Amino acid sequence: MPIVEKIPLLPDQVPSAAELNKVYDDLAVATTAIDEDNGGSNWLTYAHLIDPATNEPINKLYFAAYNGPTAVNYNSTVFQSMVSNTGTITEVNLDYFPNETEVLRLHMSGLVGVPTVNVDYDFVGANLGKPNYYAFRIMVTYSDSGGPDQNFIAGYWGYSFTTNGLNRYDTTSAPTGPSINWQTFQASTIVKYKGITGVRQYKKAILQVAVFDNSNTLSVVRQSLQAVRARK
Amino acid sequence: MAFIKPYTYVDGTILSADDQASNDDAVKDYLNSGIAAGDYAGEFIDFDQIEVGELEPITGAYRFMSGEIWGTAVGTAAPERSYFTSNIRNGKQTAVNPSIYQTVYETGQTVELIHEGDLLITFGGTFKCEENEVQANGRWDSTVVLRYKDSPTAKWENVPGTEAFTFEETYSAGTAPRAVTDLNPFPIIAYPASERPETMFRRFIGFTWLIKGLSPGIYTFSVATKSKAEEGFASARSFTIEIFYA
Repeated sequence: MPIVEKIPLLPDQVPSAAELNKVYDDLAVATTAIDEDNGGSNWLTYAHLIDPATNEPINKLYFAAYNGPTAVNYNSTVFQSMVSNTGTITEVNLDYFPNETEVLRLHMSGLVGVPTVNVDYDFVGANLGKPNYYAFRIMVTYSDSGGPDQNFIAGYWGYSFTTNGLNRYDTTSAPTGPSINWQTFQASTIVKYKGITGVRQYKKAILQVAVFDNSNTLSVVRQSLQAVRARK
Repeated sequence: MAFIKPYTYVDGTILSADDQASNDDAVKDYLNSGIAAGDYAGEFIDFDQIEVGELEPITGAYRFMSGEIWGTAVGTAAPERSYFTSNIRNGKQTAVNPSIYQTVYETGQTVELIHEGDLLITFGGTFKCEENEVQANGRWDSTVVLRYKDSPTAKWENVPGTEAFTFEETYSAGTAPRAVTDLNPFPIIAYPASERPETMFRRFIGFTWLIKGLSPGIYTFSVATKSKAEEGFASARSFTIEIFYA
């Protein structure tokens, strides 16, 4: 059914003013809700994608990085925040309330330096295969309904200190292999908020690292963390 | 603003041709791309009117329209490899610090910024290097780095936060020439049989990096290698540039 109707007129019929006005008045109403079919060139610009109330763009990019070149060492067996050589934590301040089903993108990457490796062989039992590993994770801090800060982990990503592959699963000490130096690490993930709009406040995303065996020290030359939010 | 008819019909009034034509012309002008940006000025366009960022929980697929995206991806087939070598100029093969950059194919992209903006650049590629037949000098890693320039005649500018290396540098602490007995990976036979570092010659290199506050203009990007290997290549690789206008 057409949005704008034209009333057919017969020969010798005198149209009323209402009949003649209708097509134009209908159009005046219809054009209060224009869609993409009849927009002029450049009708949509980036200026229209900025919320005039908050002056925020339609998507927002958060970024934190330590760009070296001084390496920072880590040998904690519990996850600790990654820092610059002056102690600045690699974190981004999100500080927004996600809408229901909203997706948050998270990326991290970096470059390992020269680790110090003392143990890369495997043990039997629960620790089988683990001493050779270190891992990164992205932790998101949030608050629900103004309550205390809580955390969830957006993802874990593990790497090996050495190339020691042939001695895998030895039950006793094996020669420690050459360390894997100067390799990049990188990961991406997404987080979907499934709660009610306006309840949860994302506060921070933090890049963290841990080693399994504290006799091994991981050296990191640079790292970066990015978050991308698309508002709805 | 919405359409407004120039002439309003009134009962009992003789209609002139000009009045009728004015209404018809106004309609034609308006509907034939006469709708201007100002018509939408009061209507803030929200994200879900363009593309909803959402996750499909059944398949795990997601879509996320963040801005302009320029990207390429290449598979692992041999014809798609991007080879690089240190042999392209005499004497550079064994140079301590070679300065010849070679673009990794499919990572050269030219983008235009119509406003000041930030570029989020993601690269990932599998790099493989073959054993050298000659002794390398100094550090023996081949460098991989993102470069860009803002005009055809400008010099390439390296982006420091993207620099990575194709080798381990396990025993290369200094810049002195490496000896075979010093466990130089060229050739790799110096390693104990149980720890031959074949895996050192094959690795994934990736980064996500942000270049902030670029002025409007045309920029050309390239991931390049500065090779110390006689023969190396990148096989599977992907490269994307996302533009975020502030």
